[in-house]
Amino acid sequence: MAYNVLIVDDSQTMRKVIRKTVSLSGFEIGDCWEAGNGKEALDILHSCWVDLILTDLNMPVMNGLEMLKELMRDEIYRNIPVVLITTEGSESRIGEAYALGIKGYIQKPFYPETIRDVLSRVMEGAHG
Amino acid sequence: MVEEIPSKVITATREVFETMFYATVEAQPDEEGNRESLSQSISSWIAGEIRFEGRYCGRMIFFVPTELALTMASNFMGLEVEAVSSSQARDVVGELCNMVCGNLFSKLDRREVWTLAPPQTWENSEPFIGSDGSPPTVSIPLCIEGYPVQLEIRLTPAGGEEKRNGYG
Repeated sequence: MAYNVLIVDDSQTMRKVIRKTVSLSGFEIGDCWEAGNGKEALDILHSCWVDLILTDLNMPVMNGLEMLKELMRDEIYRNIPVVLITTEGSESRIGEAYALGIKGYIQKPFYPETIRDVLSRVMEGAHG
Repeated sequence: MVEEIPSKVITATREVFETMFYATVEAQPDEEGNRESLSQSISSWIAGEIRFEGRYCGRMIFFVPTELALTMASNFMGLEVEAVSSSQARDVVGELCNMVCGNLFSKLDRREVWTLAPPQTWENSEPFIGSDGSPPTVSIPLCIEGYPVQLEIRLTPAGGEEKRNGYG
């Protein structure tokens, strides 16, 4: 089954790497959109159907935690699984993200197998 | 904690390069004159800097030969080297700083909250000239795929501002 994915990271290079790595891991991507910050991501969600959000935490304009809070306020968006892909490693920030509803966390740098395993588990949980 | 930085940053750098750039990292002896010899051996380089705040404040800087940065971007993005643009190479050096810095702080103390600023990068076709004379807190010469790379960490003294050097 192919999933529509939204990748949110302020680095265009990293967005492309994440997209490539997700594909190489065997995770089937349908449509894929990219956003440079949380605000751009929310704009995309208004017009596109997304099954999975992969997001960084530290971004300008609207960071990952601020975006998560906005997602939680919406009856539809709050059900989209969100996975953090970030350099952030502090327990309190990651804990805060889990409290805001993320389903998985991957710290950069990452192996394709890690991406595959986390995304498979998250999407099985979302549709199981 | 400061005394742990050199060994942990080398480990963090190795993990990032091996995982994301498919490259091997060797630490070189930090002998007197290595920094100057580095500047003379590189005619074109890309520098990446990331500022951080937490228990310690300061910045981490990587000096990467442009040729190596292009190869890193090629491996990172799955492109032919000829297809990599200079802006992509700079972006990759910035991401290098971001990942090594984040990885380092995870190894130092996960309970601490560290704030990382967006990385800044710049190019210089002139050989790197030494800074304003103040030594970095940590200075680590590396050899990555045969290229010399310099990693520096400058910690801000408590209650004071770091003196900026002349390269950015």
